[in-house]
Amino acid sequence: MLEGRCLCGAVTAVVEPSDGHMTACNCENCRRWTGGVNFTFAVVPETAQIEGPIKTITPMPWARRGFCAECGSGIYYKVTTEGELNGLLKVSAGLFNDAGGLPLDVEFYADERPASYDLSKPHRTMTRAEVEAYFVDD
Amino acid sequence: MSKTGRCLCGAVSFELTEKPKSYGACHCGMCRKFSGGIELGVQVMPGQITWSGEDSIGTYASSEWAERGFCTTCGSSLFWRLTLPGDLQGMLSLSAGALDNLDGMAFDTEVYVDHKPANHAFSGERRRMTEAEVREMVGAAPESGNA
Repeated sequence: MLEGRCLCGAVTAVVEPSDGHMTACNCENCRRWTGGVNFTFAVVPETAQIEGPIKTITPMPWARRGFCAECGSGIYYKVTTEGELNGLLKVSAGLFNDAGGLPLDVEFYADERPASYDLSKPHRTMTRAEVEAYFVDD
Repeated sequence: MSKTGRCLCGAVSFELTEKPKSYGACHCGMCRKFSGGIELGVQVMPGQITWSGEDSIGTYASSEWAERGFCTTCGSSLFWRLTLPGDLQGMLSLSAGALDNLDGMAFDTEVYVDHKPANHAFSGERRRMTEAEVREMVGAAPESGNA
């Protein structure tokens, strides 16, 4: 289990990583929400203990985000659409020491990454079309 | 490049007096918690920004000399702001991700590189500064914690 907390400490998270890697996302939604580049990793929803003053929003049709109402730290992303990924819970890596320590495995929305930055490879990249085909169950 | 920007939900927006030309990244633990990933910031001097929807900006005093601003409706990270009295009071590191467009901007600095987790890195060459180097530059005490 990994223990993390938001900037002010009002939200705490004790989680068990589920797939052993970290994801970066360059989409506009993540960019505006984080202010930069979003890093998340998937955790086992049933054992996740995420507590504190969390406010939620639904900024996309298939997922909900939660943030600390006291300091604004981004806490999680949860898939809400029906289908195989329903309930998938990803937490912000920044809440944890060493960003959780999991290897960066995949970069989402690689085709929307601002040209001025690039994350060192090797890791897989997925375009908007590929990511949305994965998350949106038709 | 863009003079305008907003949070994810649009409750807070802003206009800068000039198009920002560059941004930097901060790898400190506080910026990592606040952003959730990597905080990218644009330096904005006092008087160079006009806000709309200011009622929706929440602040958190993250140290004795700075505060963080976020949208209370959607949680978007908006800025780090210097609160210490003086000529630079009100100076922002505005979240670059809030800008409507980052095209044509240069990514020229990374700070607190000695705090960066080992599982990711930016490629390419730019100015890279450790915490000690940043503190020396701003004349801050070496042991007083992050901003």
